Formats: sequence, C-alpha cells, structure tokens
Amino acid sequence: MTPLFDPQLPADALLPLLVLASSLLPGLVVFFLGEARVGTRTALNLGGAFLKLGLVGWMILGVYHGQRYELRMPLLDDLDLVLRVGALSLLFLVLSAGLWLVTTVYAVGYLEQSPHRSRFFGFFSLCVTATVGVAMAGNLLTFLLFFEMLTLTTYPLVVHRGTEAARRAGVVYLTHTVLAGALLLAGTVWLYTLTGTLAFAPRGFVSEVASEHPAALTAIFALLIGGVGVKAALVPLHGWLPQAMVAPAPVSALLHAVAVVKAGAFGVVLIVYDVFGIEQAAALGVTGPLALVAAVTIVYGSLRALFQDDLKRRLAFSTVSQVSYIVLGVAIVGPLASVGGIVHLVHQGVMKITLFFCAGNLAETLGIHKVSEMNGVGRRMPWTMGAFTLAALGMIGVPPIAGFISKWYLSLGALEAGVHWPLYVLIASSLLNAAYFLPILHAAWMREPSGPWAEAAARASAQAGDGGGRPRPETRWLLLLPPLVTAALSVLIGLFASMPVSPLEWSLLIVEREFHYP
Amino acid sequence: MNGLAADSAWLEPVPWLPALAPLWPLALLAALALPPLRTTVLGLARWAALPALLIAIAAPAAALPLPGLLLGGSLQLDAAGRWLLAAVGLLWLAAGWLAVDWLRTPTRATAFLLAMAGALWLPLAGDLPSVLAASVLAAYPLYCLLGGTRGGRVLLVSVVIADLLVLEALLLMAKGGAGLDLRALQAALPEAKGHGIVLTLLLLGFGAKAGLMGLHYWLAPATQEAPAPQLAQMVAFTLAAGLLPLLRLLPLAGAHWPSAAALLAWLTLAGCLWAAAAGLLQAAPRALTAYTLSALTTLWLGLMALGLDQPAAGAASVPVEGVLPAVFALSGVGVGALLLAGGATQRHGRLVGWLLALLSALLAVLAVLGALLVTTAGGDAVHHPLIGALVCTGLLLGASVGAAAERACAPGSGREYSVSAMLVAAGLVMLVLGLLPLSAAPPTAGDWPLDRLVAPGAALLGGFAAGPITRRLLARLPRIPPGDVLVIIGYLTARLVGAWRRLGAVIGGWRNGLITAGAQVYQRLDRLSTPENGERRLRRWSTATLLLLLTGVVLALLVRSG
Repeated sequence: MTPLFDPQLPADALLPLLVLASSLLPGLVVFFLGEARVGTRTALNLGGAFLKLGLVGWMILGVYHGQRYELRMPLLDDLDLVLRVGALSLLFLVLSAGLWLVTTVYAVGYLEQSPHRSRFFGFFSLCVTATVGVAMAGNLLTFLLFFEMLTLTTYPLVVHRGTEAARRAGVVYLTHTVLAGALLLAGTVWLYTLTGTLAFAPRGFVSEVASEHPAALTAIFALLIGGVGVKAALVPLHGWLPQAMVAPAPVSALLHAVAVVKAGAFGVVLIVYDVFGIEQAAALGVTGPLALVAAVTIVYGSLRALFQDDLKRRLAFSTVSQVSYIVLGVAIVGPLASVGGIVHLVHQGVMKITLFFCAGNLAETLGIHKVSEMNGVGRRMPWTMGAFTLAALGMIGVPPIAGFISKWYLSLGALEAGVHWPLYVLIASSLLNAAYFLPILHAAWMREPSGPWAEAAARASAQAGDGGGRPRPETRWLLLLPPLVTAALSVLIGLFASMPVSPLEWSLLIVEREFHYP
Repeated sequence: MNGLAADSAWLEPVPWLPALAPLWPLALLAALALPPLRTTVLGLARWAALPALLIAIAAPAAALPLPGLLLGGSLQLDAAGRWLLAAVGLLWLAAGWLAVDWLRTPTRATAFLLAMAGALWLPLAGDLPSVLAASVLAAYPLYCLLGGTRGGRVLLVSVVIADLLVLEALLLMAKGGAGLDLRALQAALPEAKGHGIVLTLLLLGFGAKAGLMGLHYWLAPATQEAPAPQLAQMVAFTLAAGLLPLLRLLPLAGAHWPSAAALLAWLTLAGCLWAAAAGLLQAAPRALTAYTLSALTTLWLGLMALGLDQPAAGAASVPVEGVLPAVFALSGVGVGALLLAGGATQRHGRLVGWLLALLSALLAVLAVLGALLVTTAGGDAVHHPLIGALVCTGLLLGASVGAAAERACAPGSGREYSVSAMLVAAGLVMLVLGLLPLSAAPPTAGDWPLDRLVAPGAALLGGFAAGPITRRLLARLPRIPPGDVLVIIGYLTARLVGAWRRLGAVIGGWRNGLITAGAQVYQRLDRLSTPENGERRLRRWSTATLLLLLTGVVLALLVRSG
C-alpha cells in the first residue's frame, strides 16, 4: 500500500498539512458537540484559529528567508494532491488565518443566542479549511478540489437562517457556483489533455503547446476564468453575491473578505500567472478582454451600489466593484499593477470585513438594515461607526488608509504599462465610492437620530430617566472588538505600508520572486 | 523667525522634535479613550497647538526621513514650513481659546484634535503622499466640526475631487521617475513630460483647498455657517493644505514659463474681479471676509506666477520662495483676526471695534505690501494685470474692515474680540521677528527696485480706502448668495441626479419586464411539459431512425473531409 506521504519528509513539509488540520479537526469535532457546550466549542474554534495563525507566522519567517514548504500526496496515477506554500500563497494564508480569528470572535458574539451553532461553526471551520487549501494549492487539481469544497461548505452557511429568503438565496448561490465548478472542471480536463500536467509553475505550464493550440488555450482560459469569475463576482456572473446577503453577518464577512470572493480573485491570479504565465497570457491576447471585464465590473458594481438602500446590498455591490481591482491589476500586465492587485487582496479584505462587522452590529444592536435608517446612528454607536468610517474612507482610497496604497500602485502600474484608461476607471470608481459611502457617513454623523431605533432609544431612556445617555459599551464587546481591530489594521497597513513585511512589501517580494516579469 | 531658531543649537540632537507638533494632538486623542483621563484631556485639547508654535519658534531646521511611512515619507522643518507652522499653530490656538465651552464632548474633541494633527502635519510634510494624508486628516474632521452644514458638504466634495486631481498629477510625475519628495518633484516639474497638464492639475487640486477664486465655492458658505472656533481653522486649512503645497511644488526659481506666468497673472485679475463683484454684494460680513480671503489666495497665485517668469525678468535675486511663506502666514493671521474682529460686545465701543478690524486688515495689507517687493521682479506682461488684482483685493479688504467694525457693536461673547486682538498682536510679533534678519543687512535699492513699488502700493491702498465707501454705495443692490455660482452648480447637480434616477427607474422597468417575460415563457414551456413531450418524441422509432441517418451523414462528411 502506498503511504499517504513520504515518511522521510522533513518536519517542515508537514506544516501545510498542519495548517489545514488546525481548522479541519476542530470543525469536525464541533459538529458533534451539543448546543450548550459553548465553552468547549469556543475554545476549539479559537484554539484552532490561534494555532493556524501561529503556524502561518512561522512559515512567514521561513518563506521570507527563501524557504518553500511543499507536501505531495498521491491522488491519481500521475496527479498528486500538492500543498505548496510560497510568497503568494502565504499572503492569502495570512489573510485567511488572520481574518478567520477575528471573524470567529465576532461569530461567537453574534450567534450567542442563536440555534444550530454547532452546525454553523462546523461548516465555518470547514469553509476556512477549504480556503487555506485553495491558498496552498500546488496544482490545478488541488485548487479545483478545494474550490469545490469551498462551494459545498459555504452553502449551509448561506442558508443557515433557514428562512424562505435564505433558501432562495442558497439556490441562486448553488446554481452559480456549481455552474462555475463545471466550467472550471471542463477547463482543467481540457488543459490536462493538451499539456499532460496541471502543476503550477512560475511562468505557467502552457508555453510548450501555445504555438500549436492558441484557439484551444484561449477557450480554456475563458472556461477557467469563467469558473473562478463566478466566485470573484465578475459581471455578468455576480448575481449570487447580493442575493447571499441574507446570510448572518459573520458569513457575509467571510464570503466577502476571506473565503469565496477572495478565492475567486486568487484563482484569477493563479490562472494568469501560474497556469498560463503572464507573458503567454499577454501573447494569447486574453489579458485585454480580462481587463475590460474587470473595468466594466468596477464601474457597474459602483453604479449599482449607489442606489441600494439596503446596507448589506450596497456593501455587496461595493465588493463586486472592489474585487475586480485585483483582476484589473493582474490583467494590466506589469509589475507595479500586479503589486497593486495583489496587495488589494489583503487591503480590501481587511476593510470590507470591517464594514460587514459594523453592518452586523447595527443590525444586531439597533435593527438597522437600511441606509435610510442610519440617521444619527454615529451618536448612538460611535465606536462602530468610527470603524465603519475608517473602512469606508479606505475603500474610497483616502490616504493614509490601506485602499490608497492599492489604488496608487494600480494607477501607477497602468501608466507604467502604457495604458491610461484604467487610471480613468479607477478615478471614476473612487468618485463613485465616495458618492455611495459619504452619504452614509453624513447621515450617521451629521443628521439627527430618527427612525424606529431612535424612538425606541428615546422611550427607553425616558422610562429609565437617565437623560438619554447611551449604554456602555454600545454593544457586546465580542461584537465591538473585531471591527475596531480590523479598522485599526486598515489604517496601520496603509500608514506603514513601506515597513518590512507589510502587505505592500510582501507583494513587492511576490512580484520580484514569483512573477518573473521580463 | 529664522533668526530666533538659529540660536537654538541645544535642540539639535533631537531631529524628531518637529514630529511632536502633529503627534501631541494625536497623543491627547489616544488619552481621550481612557475614561479617567478624559476631563484632563478635554481641558488640554484647546492648547494642543502650543507645542507646534514653540517648535516653529525655537526648533532648528530638521529633516527626518521616515522610510516606513506610506510610500516612503519624511518630515522637514524648513524656512517656509516654519512660517506656516507658526501661523497654523496660532490660528489653532485661537480656535482652542474660542472653543472653551464648545469642546465639552469627546466626539467634538476627537474631530478637533484630528483636524489639528492634520493641519500641523501639513507644514512639516516632506513628500506629496504625506501632504495628501495630512490634508485628509485636516479636512474630513473639519467637515465634521462644521456640523454637516451646506458649506461643510461642499468642502467635502471639493476635497474629494481635489485629492483625485492631485493624485493624478502625482502619478504623472511619478511615472517619469520624479520620486515623491516635494523638493524632487519641484525640481522635476519643469522638465516633466506633459508639465502643463501636471501644473493645471496641481493648481486645480490645491487651488480648491486654498479657496482660489473659481474653485472657492465651499469657503464663503462654510465661513458664514461655521461656529466661531472653526473660522480660524478654515483659514489655517487654506494656508496649509492649499497654498503651501503649491508654493513647495511650483518651480519658482528654476522655470522659465513666460506664457504660463502671463496666463496665471490674467487669471488672477479675473479671479480678483470676480471676488470683488461677488464679495461686495454679500449680505453677511463673514461671507465678505471669505471672499477677501479668496481674493488674497488668488493674488498669491499671481505672485507665484512671477516666480515662473523670473529668469526672463533678470531679477533672480528676489527671494520669491523666501518672502511668500511669510506673506502667506501674516495675511492668514490677519484674515483670521479680521473674521473674529466682529465679536466685540457693546462695552468695547465702536472705536475699539474699528481699531481692531483695521489692525487685523493692516496685517494683511502689510503682507501684500511685502509681497509687492516680489512683484517688482516681474515683467510688464505679469505686472499690469496684478495691479488690477491689487485694486480689487484692496477694495475687499477695506470693505471687510468696514463690515467687521459695524458688526463689532452687535451682541457677542467678547471672547472673539480678545482672540482677534491676540492674533493681531501675535501677527505683529511674527512680522517683527521676520524683519529682524534684515536689520543686520538692510536691503539696498539695487536689491529691490523700490521705485516700481509705487504703482502697486497706490493701487492696493487706494482700493483699501475705497472699500468701505463702495460697500455702502452697493448696499441697495440685490445680494448674491455665498458661493455665488454654487447655486447653479447645485441646481444642475440635483437635475443630473434626478435624471440618473429616472433613467435607473426606466432601465429597472425594462429589466423587470424582461425577467417577467422570461418567467412567463418558462411557465408556458413548463405547462406544455416540453421535456416529457420531447423525450416521448425521441423514443419514437421514426425520430430515432431519422436521427441515426442524420448522424451517419455527419460522420460520413467528417470522414470525407478528414
């Protein structure tokens, strides 16, 4: 019997497996815990999250000093399940592991009194397992397996509430993602028949057959991008994302900032750089249309966000727009634009998760779901809205918050590549971002409190005779701390962008080491 | 100012000292989060600009590289930064003094300290991304402090658009490998590809923040609606976020752009005429003073234009970069004092009110006269339009003095009066300190051709004397709303948004119609049980035979062609 992996392997090679296991095992155990075992479940979740973060931290040191971690497990005749950690995968790993920790803390607070918590946290952990699997995939097959696992583990989270709206959203989500899986599978099989390999390589692995099968490779590119593009919410494949907003806030945060959407965007990066190779992709002429799709998505998402009154839907369309910055950065074809795209993977994640945490706090504490209900909410929940404000300004691209750094590199990359139109797209997008975020901030901070929550608060304070003072803290600490931490992080990674091991510096390292620009 | 700082050798081992200016308000802000310290911090917040003022006066010149900051930043305390830091510090101290009752809540104190940190960072920022970041830190909380007024909203929109314009200019410069350091950018601008576009973007971007005429729409409404403490803050913002970056970026000593200089000079004249026409027809004295500030900033732009033409005039010895920061600082302090001069109570009397307003404006007039020394360097193409601009600025200054003095007898807290007096006194001290180095080596007629000062000086003073009278003469004419064409812009924007919404509704209707039609087709197909019928039809022998034959034909064709 063939062993699962070589027993002579150095201990370091098992680190990727440990990273997977740190969320997989707690997740499996949590499924079997009773609802009342809150302490055990929380300890398992947080223990796993801290362990994963520690392991990833250990690997950062190794990769920074040039080490690569790789584990192969035989799967098919000549196709292995490969887990590999390089600079690029580590960036996504850090994002997933870091944000999983804060999202777990938030979810513990958010679902304190909810039913089916064991089921929720079980799938939650499996979802993160799939995400880190996507991050560490060393070949297209491994990527495909974890990508599909991600679909299956997020579906129960989307429909967690069990309402009619949740089930409908679940069907839409599943329809889109299963179709995406089919496209990805078709592309993968077709590519394997042409190349005989699926192993990711720094300059891609299609160059040998590119001259013979340019049309087939173009079609495969379209299939693969179509497959990952559904999860990355590229227009017109984005329909599931606004629908999935019926999910609880921690799930929305996970979908938008950590797992699904990010896995899609990360998939685009892998397909362009590690499957086709940037030179080959450019030679095939597929990067231009990809950039165009990204540009359309950026503008369309922002325009749709502008007219949404539902806060989470507005944020969802904002995600549609913002995630395509990553795709645009990749498709512009140039080192600086790539840096902008890759660093936005982290920056957008940190900022967007803050926004969803805050939206969750507003809904959970005051029952606010719509922008039109947010008048004066800054006075009632100043910390939450402070965090929201920082993240929203970051999304606009206001310095010194993280979004500015991404937009700077994307714009400079476009100019460096000799194309000016992405610059105008980014400027238009920034204006539109300002147009749909600033009115929220204006309403929250400048207008007098109004709406049902304000009346209820006024009644409560009148009954209590306390003069209308707000409760301290404004909401539960477990709900308040995560957005404060991620908001502070949004500022710090922007303000100290040029510090060693910052996301920006790490992205520069990735482009230098792994992307091999001519 | 520089002379005093030169003696402070004992501070030299502390190169990070200038960083204290913006960090001190931020440290207080951090302490504000701790409930036991809250009362103390609220008391200290008013005086948080004091270290900055002390640094401006006493700290030696310094440059502090901060490679980890943003895209690689730096802090610098140079001659220009020192003048502006002193002026901004003074204006913020004035704001703090006035905000004694107003700064009672942590939310207001937070916005106050954040805006102050940004304003004090601006004179020290050594690179353009830091300037942008500091400007954001100064502008957004300022909008909060303005309490969501119309002027505040227009300020916010102006700042967003201005930052994008500056960012685009910066990108165009960075593409050419100019670096991000302000000095490097200034040196690279004359040779940069497309420098005309870059210059235009910079003028539009920073001009909007400076309240330059044509981009001034936020200043008058915001000034009219603001509580007293914010008046001084807004003046500080126009100086530090608008004028100073322009001064640092425009190549005032190395470029020879006579056409750009002439164009800017004529634009200055047009802007000052516009300011005079709109300002003299304002109902509120504060709005009038806001137009005066706009006219002054427009005039400063014209004076900077002279720098672009210096080599042609053959007067490279005139220190444009050296004089203008002092001029900006003194006029800013003067206008700040003028804005506050109207707050005297009855007990101070009309004469005292007049005197205070006059002294405030005198600071600005002295600043303009100082700047005129620079104008003597320019060629006639630049010189003549600036004479006209000086008349308009003088008119507005004179009219503002008249308006402030009239308002001085209106009921007020009296504190504004004291603060105005303090600002005037501090401005005069700054002026003396600035003139001190000249006492060691007085300029000669050869250095500065004083005979050319007569015409512009007369234009300015003549305008100043005519200002109060002109305002009274125009009193019966209809008033113009503050921000003038802002009314039209607001109307057009509202129409545009309305049209967009209607378009959205129409498209949404079409989309819903399509979805409904699609659903109806699906339901019909479903009712017809198409799949079942199709399947039944496929199972018939005739269909199967026909399909078999068809497949055979296709295969035969493929084999033949292959």
